[in-house]
Order: sequence, then C-alpha cells, then structure tokens
Amino acid sequence: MPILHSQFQAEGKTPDGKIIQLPAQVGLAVRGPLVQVTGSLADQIASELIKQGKAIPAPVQGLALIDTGAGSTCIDEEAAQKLQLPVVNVVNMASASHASAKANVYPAKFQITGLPMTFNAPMSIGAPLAAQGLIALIGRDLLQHCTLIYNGHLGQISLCI
Amino acid sequence: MALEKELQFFAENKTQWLKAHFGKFVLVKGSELIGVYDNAETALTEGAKKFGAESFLVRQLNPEEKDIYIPALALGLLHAHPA
Repeated sequence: MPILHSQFQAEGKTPDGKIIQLPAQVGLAVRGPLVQVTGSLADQIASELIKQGKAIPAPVQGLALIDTGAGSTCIDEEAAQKLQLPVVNVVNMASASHASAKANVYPAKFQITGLPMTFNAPMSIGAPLAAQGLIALIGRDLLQHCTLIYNGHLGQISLCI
Repeated sequence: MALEKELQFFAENKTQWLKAHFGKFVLVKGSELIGVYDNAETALTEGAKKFGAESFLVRQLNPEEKDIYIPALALGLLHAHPA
C-alpha cells in the first residue's frame, strides 16, 4: 500500500529577532496538513487532446491543503488559467458573509508528490487560493480513496492509498 | 460569466429534460444539447472529443441545485489564526 509520510516543520522568532525551530506539532497545527502536488488537465480531456494531436499545457506545481471539511476538491483560479482548463460547469458557492457567488468548475487532475498515482478531479471548483500559497484544497471526493492519519502529537500526517 | 449561453439554454430546458433523464448528465454547447450520459466522466470525454479544450457545460439533472459549501472558503477560515 503506497504511503506518504510527512513531518512538519515551522520556524518562529524570539522577541530579539532570533529565528528558532518550533516543535513539529506546532508546525502542523499552524500550517495544516499540506502536501506538494502537481496539477494538470483531467484524464478525460487530456487523452482526447492527445488523440487529436493537440498540445497539453504544462503541469503546475504547488501546495495543497488536505481539507476534510470540503466535500469537493478546489483548484486555484490562477492555476486553472495557467493550465488552460476549460470551464465545464458553474456552481453557486455559499458564503457566510455575503450572497452565494458563482464559481467555475474545471476538469483537473492532481498528483501528490510521494505517492505513485494521480487523482482525477474532473469537477474541481475554482477558488482564489493563491493568496494563501495554495493551488488546491484536497476535498473528500479525493480523500474517499485514501486513509489519512493526522498525528497532532508528533506533527505528522500519513496518507495511504 | 463563463458558459452564459449554455446555462441559459439549460435553465430553459431543464424541466423537460428532468422528466426524461432524471439523474443523468447533459452535455451542452452553446444552445445545443449534445447528449445525455450516465456519468460526468463520459460526458466530459464526449465533450473533449467534439470541442477539444473549449469550454462546454456538463451538469447533472437534479430538481434541486444546492449551493456548494466549503467551510474554509465560506467562513474565510483558510489559514486564520487567533491573534
């Protein structure tokens, strides 16, 4: 069973400006369960483009947050534009502070670095994630294929397929 | 907004399509129903065959279309830290 095992690290500053290493459990608590991913065009679209002799846009790499609160995987809008993903649906995204907003849906695929397989996410929801340093939120639609162990005491996560 | 024409066409025809194809996925391009499929993956493949990397609408026929709720985004909690 392929397993990705990540130990989190974080740095902090003392009052006199000295940078110190913080415990791994603080790193995980502060940053959340992040994984390095490569985003690309979903298999359904990519295979057809290849058959038609068309170029596939270069993949985009970045960080993704594993978000067990998200039913659907989200892709950063800027990353979706870089990947030249077509829009395949428009949904209403609920918000606590204002009326629901329209969000584009994109056919994406993600490879989690360290795991030898890709996750097809053909209905990924576009969201502004770049400001948080993210290109994706990994939602329960992908996590349904995984076992996730969040070890807060040790500042580690394990993701198994 | 993306897919404006497709969404308008979908809204105009949804009631009729629901009666005949409840739960299935429609593929719409412009003001044309291209096909009805059992799942989104097949609809996407057919859409890519016909339209390459152009945008097209793939949507399930459901009487109710609920808002998508992603708590981290809806509540602005992404990377929020107590002061």
